[in-house]
Amino acid sequence: MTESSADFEAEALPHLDAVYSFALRLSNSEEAAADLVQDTFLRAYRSWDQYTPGTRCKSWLFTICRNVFLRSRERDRRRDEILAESAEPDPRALSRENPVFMETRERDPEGSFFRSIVDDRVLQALDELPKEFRMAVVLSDLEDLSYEEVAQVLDVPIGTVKSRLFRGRQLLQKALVDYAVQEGYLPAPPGDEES
Amino acid sequence: MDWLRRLLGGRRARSPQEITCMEAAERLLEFLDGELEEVSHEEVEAHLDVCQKCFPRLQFEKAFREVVRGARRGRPAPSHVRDRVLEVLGEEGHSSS
Repeated sequence: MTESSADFEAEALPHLDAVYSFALRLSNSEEAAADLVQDTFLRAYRSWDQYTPGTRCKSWLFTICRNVFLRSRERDRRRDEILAESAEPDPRALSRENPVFMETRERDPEGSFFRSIVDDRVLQALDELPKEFRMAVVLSDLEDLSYEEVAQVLDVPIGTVKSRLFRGRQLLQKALVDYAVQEGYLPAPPGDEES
Repeated sequence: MDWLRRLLGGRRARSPQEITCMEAAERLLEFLDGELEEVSHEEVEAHLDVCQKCFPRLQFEKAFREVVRGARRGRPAPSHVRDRVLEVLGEEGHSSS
């Protein structure tokens, strides 16, 4: 076994499960995720001399995975970039007020209803988020990457990471609120009881 | 003589470390993500420790985070995916131990 192969095996291959989980959340398809993982590791192996030892290998693999995914969805990317560029609000303004919290605080001030929601439903709602928001939430909340690492993977400024993350979380909260009302975990808003 | 001013009913001067509810809310998500610098983190923490008004929003955001993080699957890649990766790498000259 060559030194390069040994390094790759020790540093990159242990992240295969994490890359698969990320690919699955990106593509919403086990078959597509398998292809993505294969392409990611193939490209990583061929470019191993470009990897800087000591940096976070998982982030580097996610970057490759994201690029492979976007290239396979070129047309969608153009649409998403236009969507993202058209509205990039100030992250601190997004943090200042959360309309989902404002809307539910009379019915459940501390968001206890979230605890009644099963994992599958959370993942389903996550999979239904627009792709750019989904990637930010998955990398931050499921993969524990820092803002700086998410920015590197998505190739966007940190401010954009915050905006996408905060907006993505609000969309996810809204979806979970709707589900909680539907399942009876949270009372319907006043005036909506009949619907 | 801050204690004397308070005793006499005067308004206590705002300590430089104290922040308003608005300032705490603006930094809340970065605070929960552990992305604030140390001083800023401590300011938000000190505010949240004592502010009843901010408490419900803090609990709401925490409950949401718990449910999302709880949905993390330590789901391993299926064996056929792992086999395919090793096969493709083998074709590239990689030898596994």
